[in-house]
Amino acid sequence: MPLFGGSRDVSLIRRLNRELINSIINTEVIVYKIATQYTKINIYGESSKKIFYNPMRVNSLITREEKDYDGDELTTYIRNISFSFLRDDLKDLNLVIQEGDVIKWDSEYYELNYVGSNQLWTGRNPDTLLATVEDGRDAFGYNVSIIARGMKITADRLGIENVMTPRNSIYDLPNRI
Amino acid sequence: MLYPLNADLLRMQGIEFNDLIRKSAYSFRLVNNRLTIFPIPLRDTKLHFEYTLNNMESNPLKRGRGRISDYSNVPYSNMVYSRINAMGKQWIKKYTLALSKEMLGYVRSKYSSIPIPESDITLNGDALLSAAEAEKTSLIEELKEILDQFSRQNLLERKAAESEALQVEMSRVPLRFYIG
Repeated sequence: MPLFGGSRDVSLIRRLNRELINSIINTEVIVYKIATQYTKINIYGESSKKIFYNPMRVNSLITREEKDYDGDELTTYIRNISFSFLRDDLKDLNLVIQEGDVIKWDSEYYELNYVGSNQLWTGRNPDTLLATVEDGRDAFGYNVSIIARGMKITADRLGIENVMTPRNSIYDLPNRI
Repeated sequence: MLYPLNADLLRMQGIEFNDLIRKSAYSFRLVNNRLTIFPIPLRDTKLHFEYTLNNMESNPLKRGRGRISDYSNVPYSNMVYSRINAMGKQWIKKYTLALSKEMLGYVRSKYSSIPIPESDITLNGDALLSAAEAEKTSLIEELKEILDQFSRQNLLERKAAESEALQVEMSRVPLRFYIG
């Protein structure tokens, strides 16, 4: 059993991360995962209407940049964002975040254009480490996070949420009824 | 002082007689674990040996019941927790807390930084270790002071002080007049 970076150390780090992200920081985002098999595309691979699975709530660490206005247009702006997820949280939810998925946070929608996993503790990925996978030695190292970067998009382009229609506060009916 | 020559001769003779008559003149020889006694005993008799085992020869500690040579064999056994008074139990609880802090500090300071998604954090292991060390030192000092207060010397000094104070107080009591 390795002295540093073994399964017991990984367990400590996993628990600390879960406590920090899920109990202390606790910033939840809503992930809309695109259902590619139900989304119709044209000959260019584009789709005018995207179909999403039911949204899921996940805790995340968020870094959002300032608004960047394009030219003289003050009504539309570009805004980049980075979501950092604990990989084990996503594994528990059986959620695979990919490019093209949409995340809602702070009343804004962000379409992901980069998803990566490159934060390996002790520099080793236990899922692919040859000594573990092929030689059957103890797990070593930890794949910490999934990083997703995206850009703000308007909600009406997605068809996820109806805008500019008041809710019926008496019966709390959905919009547009 | 001047003595005649025969005086010296008589003294020498006296010493030789003393060796011959008063001393036993028995002797022994031990060669290859074979004991030879001289002269050969002619009747049944008890023979006492005073010996030291080789393995004990280099051990300065004399062990055995009722024998104390140093701190190592003072017959102090572990105290039974249920028989310790409330003050002692409180001290034990505080010291246990300090030890727990120390252990947690060692756990948290094994790694200088802990990775979190796209960043890392530092735990308070070093702070826990220093706090635990300070608490342990403070508790040991407190215990030493308490035990020192109840040492025989301090108790005697306190009694002497009480006695002196009492004498001073009594000396200020007005004396009665006796009319003979």
